[in-house]
Amino acid sequence: MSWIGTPLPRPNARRLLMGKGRYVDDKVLPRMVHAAFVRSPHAHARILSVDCTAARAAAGVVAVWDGAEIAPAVEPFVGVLTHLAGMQSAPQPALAHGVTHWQGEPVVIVLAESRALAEDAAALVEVDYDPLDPVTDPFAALEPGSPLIHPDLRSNLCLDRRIDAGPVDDGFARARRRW
Amino acid sequence: MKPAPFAYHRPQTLAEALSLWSDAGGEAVWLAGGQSLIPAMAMRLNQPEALIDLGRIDGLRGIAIDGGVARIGAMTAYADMLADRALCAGLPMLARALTHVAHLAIRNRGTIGGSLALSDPAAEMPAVMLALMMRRSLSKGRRPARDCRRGLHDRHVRNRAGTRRDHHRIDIPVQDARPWDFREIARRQGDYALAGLALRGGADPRVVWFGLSTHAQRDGAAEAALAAGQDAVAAALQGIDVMGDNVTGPRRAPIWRACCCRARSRRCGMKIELTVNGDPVQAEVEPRLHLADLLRGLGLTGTHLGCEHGVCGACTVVLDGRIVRGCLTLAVQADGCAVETVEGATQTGRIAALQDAFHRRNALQCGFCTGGMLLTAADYLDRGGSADRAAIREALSGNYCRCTGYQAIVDAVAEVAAAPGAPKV
Repeated sequence: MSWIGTPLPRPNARRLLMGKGRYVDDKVLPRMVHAAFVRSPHAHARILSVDCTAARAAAGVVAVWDGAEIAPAVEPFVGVLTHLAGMQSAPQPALAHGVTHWQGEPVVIVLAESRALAEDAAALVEVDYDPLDPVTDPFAALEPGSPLIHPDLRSNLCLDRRIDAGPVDDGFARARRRW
Repeated sequence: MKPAPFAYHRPQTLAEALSLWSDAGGEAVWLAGGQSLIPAMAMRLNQPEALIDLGRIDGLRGIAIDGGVARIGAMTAYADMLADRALCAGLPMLARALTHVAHLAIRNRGTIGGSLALSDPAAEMPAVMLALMMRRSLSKGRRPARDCRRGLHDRHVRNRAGTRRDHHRIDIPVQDARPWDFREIARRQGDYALAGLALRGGADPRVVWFGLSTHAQRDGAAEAALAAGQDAVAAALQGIDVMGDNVTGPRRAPIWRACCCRARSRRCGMKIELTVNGDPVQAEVEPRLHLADLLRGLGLTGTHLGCEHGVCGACTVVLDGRIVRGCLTLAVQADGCAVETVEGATQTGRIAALQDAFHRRNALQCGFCTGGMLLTAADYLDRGGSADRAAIREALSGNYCRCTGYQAIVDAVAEVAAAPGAPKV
């Protein structure tokens, strides 16, 4: 008997069809808190100041942290693949610290007893930004003279990789079968 | 996204509603269907101090046609308008436009009066009413509709000034044989219009654009061309200059943001009683709690929150027999109602044939959209839906699936629709 072409219904799918799946948002753990984020509205900006005083005092809030406060506890990650020579990427902190590099980058995290309360408190955070020139087109980013988004990197180019296995027609000519 | 806290009032009479409105001194907002207001509040683009729910007031709903005029109650839901054969026959432009208004779950709740009062730049109804020369019945007499210059900002400015408009009813002359057209461009059927056109020829022609400016707008040049006998649609398109003065402005004018205000904390609990899957439920809830969150708080987590603003369909539930979005319905609005979730539909066996077909045909992968898909498909079949694949896709167009690519889902629904003994209305 061949498995190919044989339907294989998933035994676990029955539960999902009945609404009995357990997704992350369905889980309730003891002392669990909910997070809301204050995010940068700018594609590129300096963060001049962050005022979380009112947010910290809001109902149901457990903690409020900005980039400076979270930095000692969470190391930034660098998204490179070590086997790809020349790949460069800037360290990405958990919360933007000093500068934001993309619209939507989280700047402050608010932790509270419910998401609604966390969002209420997030609305009370005040961030002062100094907008910088963004680069929003990948080709423009490679032009000489375009703003260098990460000053510690050589350029805006993450990776340049070329793979050349010869002309396509030669490959077809050498093939054992052609359809 | 959860809305900021607000107070909630549910008057039983129009007099009570108007009195509440006056007392609020401009800080209250009317709640009609809520299908535009609630997502705006979820995104905190609009933060009213209080909502006055018009949903339980008698006499604001209904459709009647007499003396060549269709009279539609302001709180009549889109779905009821579409279901009224006489209305659709008499006003085919309205019927066509209604099929572009979001999806069935939203049309079951959204009202024509709410749409006209809100005057969203991308809404179909204001443009259609301008094209059909609607008259609003006000408490002080009737006025023909001119340009709907009352964008949302204007409405709020006027509200603060203390004037109020009581739109009990909308009256529309029933169409004769004049030519008409209605077009809409949107990324997906039912999405916000990127651009739209409502057009009526004959004497006193109307060419109305929507989605291109802050409000529905008549195109005088195109109307003159139409009156001069030129081809209807060509004349309208000829008059259009997207970059010029006539029809310009940002596609999605940020006028909602102009109305943002900080709400004082309104965390008073309201007592509600409803039936969920046949069981009586009593709860004390903040007015801002979505119905979906109430259900999930009861442990019925089969109703999922995807987008939290009404477009993905994962939160679909059945409210008094109609599919609705759990994230566009407040729990307080479900007071006294009967709610059915996917768990309840499973228990009664109502969706067993669909569940079986979905399972055999692998019409799910992660399962997140599945509850919404099942309830929407069941509603489609209950209303006599056929095995026609295009009709099935249209009925399910308000439910997103990120995993399957939809083919297997359509297969499963078509199989159940075609089965012998399948219920046909």
